[in-house]
Amino acid sequence: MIFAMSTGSESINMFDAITGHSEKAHAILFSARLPRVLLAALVGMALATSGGAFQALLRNPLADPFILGVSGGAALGSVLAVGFRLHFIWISLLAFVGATIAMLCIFWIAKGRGRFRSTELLLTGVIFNAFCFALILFINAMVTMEEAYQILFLLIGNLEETGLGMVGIVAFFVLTGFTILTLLARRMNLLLLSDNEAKSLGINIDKLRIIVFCSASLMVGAAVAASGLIGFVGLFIPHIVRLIFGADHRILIPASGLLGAAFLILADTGARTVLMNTQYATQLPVGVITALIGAPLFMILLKRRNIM
Amino acid sequence: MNKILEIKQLSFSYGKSIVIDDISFDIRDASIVGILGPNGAGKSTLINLLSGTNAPDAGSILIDGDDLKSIPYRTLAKRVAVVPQMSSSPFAFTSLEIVLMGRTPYISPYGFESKDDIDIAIDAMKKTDCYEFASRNIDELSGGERQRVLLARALAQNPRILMLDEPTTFLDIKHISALKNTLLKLNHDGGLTIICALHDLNIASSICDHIILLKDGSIEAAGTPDEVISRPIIERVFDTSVHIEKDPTTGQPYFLI
Repeated sequence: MIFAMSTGSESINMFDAITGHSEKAHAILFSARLPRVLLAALVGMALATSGGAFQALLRNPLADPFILGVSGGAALGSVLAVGFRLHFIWISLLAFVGATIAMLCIFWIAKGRGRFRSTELLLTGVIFNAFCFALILFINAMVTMEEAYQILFLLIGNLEETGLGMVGIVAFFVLTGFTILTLLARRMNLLLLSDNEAKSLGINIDKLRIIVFCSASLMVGAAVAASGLIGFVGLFIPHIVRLIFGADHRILIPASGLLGAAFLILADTGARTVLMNTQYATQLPVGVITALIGAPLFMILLKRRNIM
Repeated sequence: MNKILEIKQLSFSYGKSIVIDDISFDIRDASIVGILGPNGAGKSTLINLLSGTNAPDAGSILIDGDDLKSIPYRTLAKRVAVVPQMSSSPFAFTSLEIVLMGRTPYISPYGFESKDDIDIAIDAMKKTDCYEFASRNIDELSGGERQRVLLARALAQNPRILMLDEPTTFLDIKHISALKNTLLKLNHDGGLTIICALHDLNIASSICDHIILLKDGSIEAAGTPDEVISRPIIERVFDTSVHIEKDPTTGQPYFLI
């Protein structure tokens, strides 16, 4: 994290910045780098934890907020809010509503008997995403250039334009969701069994499912509102954690949160620095990095595992 | 003898088709009861109703005199445990993790298992002869091994009543014989009441004290194996001709197609 804060298109000396020896370094650290790194951590945590939660909720290893269309729904919600020039809190809340509607659609369409089948989930996600993007482009055509630019950046997924105030709001939503999911982690293990088994082991499965569902959607909403569509983090982080620690959610949920946070900080640091000394002298959106890493991993997963 | 379960005028339907049609019976404490009948007779549905997983449309189920409807999930899970026909999970838990899930009703919702819980789980695995694969993933096990793990999970709930849904479906004769012995031992040593949906009349005849024969959601016959497994009853219920003999050593009836 300290490395991430000291690295960037303008290299700064950590010591100077904290003690205030260098005005410029101090300003960069506290007004640009710190909020950005914090936001990366929160968004990474939100995406990875909610990915793990969705995988349990749908009993399917391919679940991820981006692939399922939950992020798409959230993006539509936040784009609507941008279109109406609402405050960031409203962007988050509308994103949450969008994420919830997306999840309800998925439940409604893809619910077969017992387990959710991969084909139906993926198709629902693809179609829901397509629908959301059509609406987003529709809205995009009706707003000013500046707002259109903001919408474009939302779609790619980036962590720029961060203030500490916004970080606070995101932190509230994300940490709330994270805490709830961590507390529910033991019971989430039973979500992976059939409904009847969970019931006969003394779990009120419907209530549990609704709470997990809302917490995860809340996290995705806040993450998308703050940083746009950052894909695949929710997919592969929980899988990596599972490979190392096993399937128990008591470890999976918190470890996914932490690993997701660390991963996105690194990915964002990469995004900020990879092109800085080239002729382009620009910063990449972090969504580019996660998709470049995540999409091939997703294909490997799809190929290797017997997941249907 | 005490009645542990009293079933009164129970009915249940999926949509318009009536699966369980106004049935009543009692189950004695510490008995082994077989629920038999042709495919689609309502055996699994009856197990789901008795275990509280499905709520009946009409009628009532009393456990030790308490109405099933009024018992919270957690409390019920301490009295009734179910061994499902099969269990699958998209992510592999180890056998021990699966068995520890049986301790769910005893652990605080936010807590971890205590040493006692782990000891109880290990003890249950030893009873069902599956402790040797405690650390193996559940999806690497064969059908018979997996079922022993699920049985251990049910025992870890420390129930008064154990229900099994067609436990012999995926087993070969060696495992069926082992399962029979395990169930008889649990019933004899621990006084466990066992309710078992079965399709094999001979297995039912060899372990059950009492048999309930279902057809189209109604009770066709009920009683001891001797009373129920007779040629006219079986031919009527299963709609096929059979031949019934007495086992020369145990005296129990067995049938041939």
